[in-house]
Amino acid sequence: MTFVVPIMLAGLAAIAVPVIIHLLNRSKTQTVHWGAMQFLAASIATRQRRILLEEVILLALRCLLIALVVLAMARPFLPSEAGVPWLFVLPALLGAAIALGIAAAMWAYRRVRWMMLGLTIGLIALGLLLSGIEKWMQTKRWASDGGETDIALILDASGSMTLAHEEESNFARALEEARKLVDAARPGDAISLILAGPVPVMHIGRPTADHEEIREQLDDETLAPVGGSCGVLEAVNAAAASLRTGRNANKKIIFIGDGQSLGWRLDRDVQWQFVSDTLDALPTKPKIYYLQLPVPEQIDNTGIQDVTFSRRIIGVDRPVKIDVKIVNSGSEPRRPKTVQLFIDGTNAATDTMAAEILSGSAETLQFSHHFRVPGVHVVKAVLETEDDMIWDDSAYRVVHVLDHVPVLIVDGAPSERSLKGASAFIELALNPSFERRLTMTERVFAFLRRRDKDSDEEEKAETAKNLVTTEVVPAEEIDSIEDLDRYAVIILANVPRLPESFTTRLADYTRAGGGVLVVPGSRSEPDSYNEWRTPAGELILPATLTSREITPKDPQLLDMESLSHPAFQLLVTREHADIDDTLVSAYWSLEADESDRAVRVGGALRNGDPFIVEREFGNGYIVMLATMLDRRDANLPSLKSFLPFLHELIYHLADPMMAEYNVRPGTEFRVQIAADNPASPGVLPEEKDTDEEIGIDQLRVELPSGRIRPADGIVTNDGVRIRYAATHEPGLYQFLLPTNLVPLYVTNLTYATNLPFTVVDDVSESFITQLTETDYHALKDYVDIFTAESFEELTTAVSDDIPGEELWKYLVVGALICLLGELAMSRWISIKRRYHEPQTIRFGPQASEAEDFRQHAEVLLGISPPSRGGNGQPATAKEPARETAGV
Amino acid sequence: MVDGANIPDYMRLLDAEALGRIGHHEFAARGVVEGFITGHHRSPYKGLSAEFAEHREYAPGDDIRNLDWRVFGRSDRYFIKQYIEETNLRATILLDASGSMRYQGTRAAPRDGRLLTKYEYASRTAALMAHLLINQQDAVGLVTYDTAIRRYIPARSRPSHLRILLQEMHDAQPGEETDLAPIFHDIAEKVPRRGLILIMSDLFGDADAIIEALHHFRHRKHDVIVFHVMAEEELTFPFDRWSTFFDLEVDENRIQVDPRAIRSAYVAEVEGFINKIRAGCGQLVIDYVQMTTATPFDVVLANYLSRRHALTAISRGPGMRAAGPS
Repeated sequence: MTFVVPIMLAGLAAIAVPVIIHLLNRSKTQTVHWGAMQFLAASIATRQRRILLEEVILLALRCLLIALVVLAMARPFLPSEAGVPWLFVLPALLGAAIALGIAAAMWAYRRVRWMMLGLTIGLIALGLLLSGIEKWMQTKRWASDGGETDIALILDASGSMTLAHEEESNFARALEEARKLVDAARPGDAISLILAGPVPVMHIGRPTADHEEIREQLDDETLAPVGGSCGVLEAVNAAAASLRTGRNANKKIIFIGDGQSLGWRLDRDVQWQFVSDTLDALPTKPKIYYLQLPVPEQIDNTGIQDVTFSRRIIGVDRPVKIDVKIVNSGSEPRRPKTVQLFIDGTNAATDTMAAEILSGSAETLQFSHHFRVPGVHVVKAVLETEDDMIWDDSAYRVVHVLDHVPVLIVDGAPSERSLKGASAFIELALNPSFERRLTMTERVFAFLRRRDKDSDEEEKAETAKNLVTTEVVPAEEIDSIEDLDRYAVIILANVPRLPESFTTRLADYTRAGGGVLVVPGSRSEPDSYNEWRTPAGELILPATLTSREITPKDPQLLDMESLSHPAFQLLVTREHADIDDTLVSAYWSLEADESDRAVRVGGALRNGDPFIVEREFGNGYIVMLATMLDRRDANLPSLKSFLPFLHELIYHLADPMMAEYNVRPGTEFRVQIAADNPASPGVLPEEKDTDEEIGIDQLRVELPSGRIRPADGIVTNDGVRIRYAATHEPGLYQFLLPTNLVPLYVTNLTYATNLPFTVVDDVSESFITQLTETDYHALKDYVDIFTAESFEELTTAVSDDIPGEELWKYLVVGALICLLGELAMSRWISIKRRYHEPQTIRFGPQASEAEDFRQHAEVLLGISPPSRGGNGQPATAKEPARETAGV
Repeated sequence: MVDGANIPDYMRLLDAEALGRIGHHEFAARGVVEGFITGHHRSPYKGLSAEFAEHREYAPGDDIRNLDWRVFGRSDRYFIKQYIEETNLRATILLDASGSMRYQGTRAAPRDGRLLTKYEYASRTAALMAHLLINQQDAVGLVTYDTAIRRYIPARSRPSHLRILLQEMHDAQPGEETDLAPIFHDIAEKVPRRGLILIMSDLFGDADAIIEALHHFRHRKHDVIVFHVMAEEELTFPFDRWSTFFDLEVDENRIQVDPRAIRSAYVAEVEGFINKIRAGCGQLVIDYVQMTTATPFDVVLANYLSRRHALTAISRGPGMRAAGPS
């Protein structure tokens, strides 16, 4: 605690005034020679303690009153980040006044007097010293060079800033504060503007002293919360980067937000340390001034937390289940009306919420949808409700529906007889009907038929269609396959040895995201397998073949506990799966390098030998099984679980090839539009065009906010790769494809010219949890952060003054209370001691009125009343003095 | 006594109130006194006297002159007539000359152009009483005392005796500490029985002990009148500045105090003391006369004497009981 007008503290000397008056009063005693000492002594004996107590209270009150007035005039000031608690300074000074009062009242008691006087001096010295220390510390903390400053202004643009509080959204409030701040800035101060969504967006990157420009930016109507959470770390980093470009020596970061703790990532010590280092690297380490806007205590909100699909690979073959998870982030139970599901803008389903959702919990509604048309589709879930935040009432997801998943099976032991080849059961399992793949024309016709009110029979025929298509090639003819990229998954079944030319291509294929399933068998040569390496020398296979174990009489069982591979996911959790009946009578003993982090054993036999081993290689996976998938080596193909196991394995392997259409904020979205890639959202003609002809330079992306931004695209050997990195705003994005590209590139009928993708929101933002004092305290380990409660505090801090609060009002109130107390006390004492009442003692029943008595006496004495005044006799003889007791 | 210039100092005790209006006052004072005592005091010793007391059956040896022949005539029995013996009253004035009686105060009624101390007030009252009593041929004695009896002058009824009394009152100046109760016991033993005791004192001391001592007087068949002399300041404690109170009796005693702070307590103390004394007097059938120096003593005395006279007149009636103690 400090004082604005410290010179006024000299007035503390005035607390001696009541003391001096008191002592003067005592020193001017009159001397009385007194007879009735007996009564005097008795009355003092009964009253002494009480009188002393009253005196002490009265004098302490008087001294306190003066001290309060003096301190109020010195204008005590409580800095927001006080180093010395006011609890020490103010009480010390007031305590000194009280001690002096006590000393005066107990002047006669020598020990007490000197003790109290000493205490008075000590407390005053302590108070002044502490106040001085505080002043020094505060000045040191807040003073800067005084020159112009670079200010990075960060506005929280997270979803919670849309929350209306007292009929105004916090974002609008933040803008208003920002404008005021710009007005309050000195002409030379340069300001940059950063909008902090999940990813910070620099609206003015380099601090500018042109305040008009900043005002224009702040008035821009497109400036709006982007949703999602506020990436504070990234925003501060961006601010540091922006400040680095500024010319002024003083640097400050001003952050206006709602204190939603989610974005602060307080658990990420390393990143905060990095931020701290970044700030340290600036010429002067900038302080962060955080203005925390208020949020309402009661929030009424439900939102869509997530939209998930039951399968990763969605085909046109069968319906997919879509789970919409609704969460109540408000403080009261709520029941949203309905949830609508839109596919490509058309309402596909509507469901009604059955029950209320409790605060903090979530409900999931399940929809089922059958995508009839392959290609990219936009799924939008809309929650119909009236609540405080609308940004989380709808959610977009983009799915790529596949027409087919082509699988190449390389058969190492082809056989003319049915079910004798190494690939026979695999092919049978993957493509049970051996159905021919439909041509494009047939697909379009089929689609048109469905549009004309399809019949149930056709529906059945459609569902029978397989997603996976297979192509079998003998191992000898492997080199005849020119383009591996056409396949989603390649299976090597009992291939004796791998030709070197092929293995290199296979490695590249996997690296690009393709999936490879290696099923070694009786003919496999360990030497060839174990030496399969990239030109750089990396091992490609997840495990090495050590020995082939053939134990027909003692078949091995699977260790159910060890089955962790995603392909087993459906089987180990379902009650009716018979995977535990697996009996393996011949297998390769595999040795996986456990120290290799890319390798994992997804399942093992009872004897501990690995059953399935997987390596993450580039973007794709290579999976190796220990046993052949035929009936000689194991009974797997005869189990009910075989089909789902193999399908899940294929989907898992095919997955990396699929483009991710739902990216997290800040992650680059990219997709390959390839000539004949099963995972490509479109098809390019075989003949390649140049960049200009495709119109790569015209690539644009429409952001969720409606703004259009340029995007990247390059023409590669196999097609066109397009990408967009500035995924700052959550929501639905549309790649606007150049007109030249569109005809070449067909996705589906709805989004023929646009390629959609989404940036997913973090719905946790809807749960408002504000930063606590402890959090701020923790932050101070890394950054010099000052939290302002009001705009005034912020501007004070910005203008290098010490932010804080003046306390004189409280002292004035205290002084008034003291004054009233003093008046009440003295009045009480005066009533109690009957200061102003004449004291009369009546002496028994014979006592009579003085006047009656006098007349009676005069009659007895023979003095006639009228003559009394005029007959020259001394009146003194006859006049009883004053009113007093009679007989 | 007419010419004030030749009056000795001690006579001023009596003259103090008389200086301004001596003739008038004497007359008035006597009138009052006569109204009270009327010159005669009944004696408890029955014998020949003017006033008839009762009849008694004749016994051999009785003086035949006292036979009531009228009774004999009516009832044919011999009765002796008995008369109340009239004697002079023996009064003793106990004048307190202790240090506390020296208190003067500022509120005392002025007399002779100055304020009277309690002692002066008391001695003037005593002088007046002595004058009244001697003038009606009663005997008056005087005891002055402080720590002990200073002087004991036995009662005489000669008019010149008044002079001795006044001389002693004048000469005795208050000074020492008192403890009244033992002194009262002492005096009670010394003074002959069945007299009138007039106590002029502020009675400062232990109330219970004083009442006990008064009881001793009553036990000796004395008629007692207590003139309780106090200054008005001692009753009302009117001081309103920090004051140092010096004890009039013991020099070292001093108390520094804010009088306002203890006034109510003080007044309560005094009130309690007076009430106790008065209640004790009431029980012992002792006349208690409260006097403050602020009220002229002649006024108080006149009032008291008239009341006593009235009471005596009522109680005397046709019976033989005295107004005072029986």
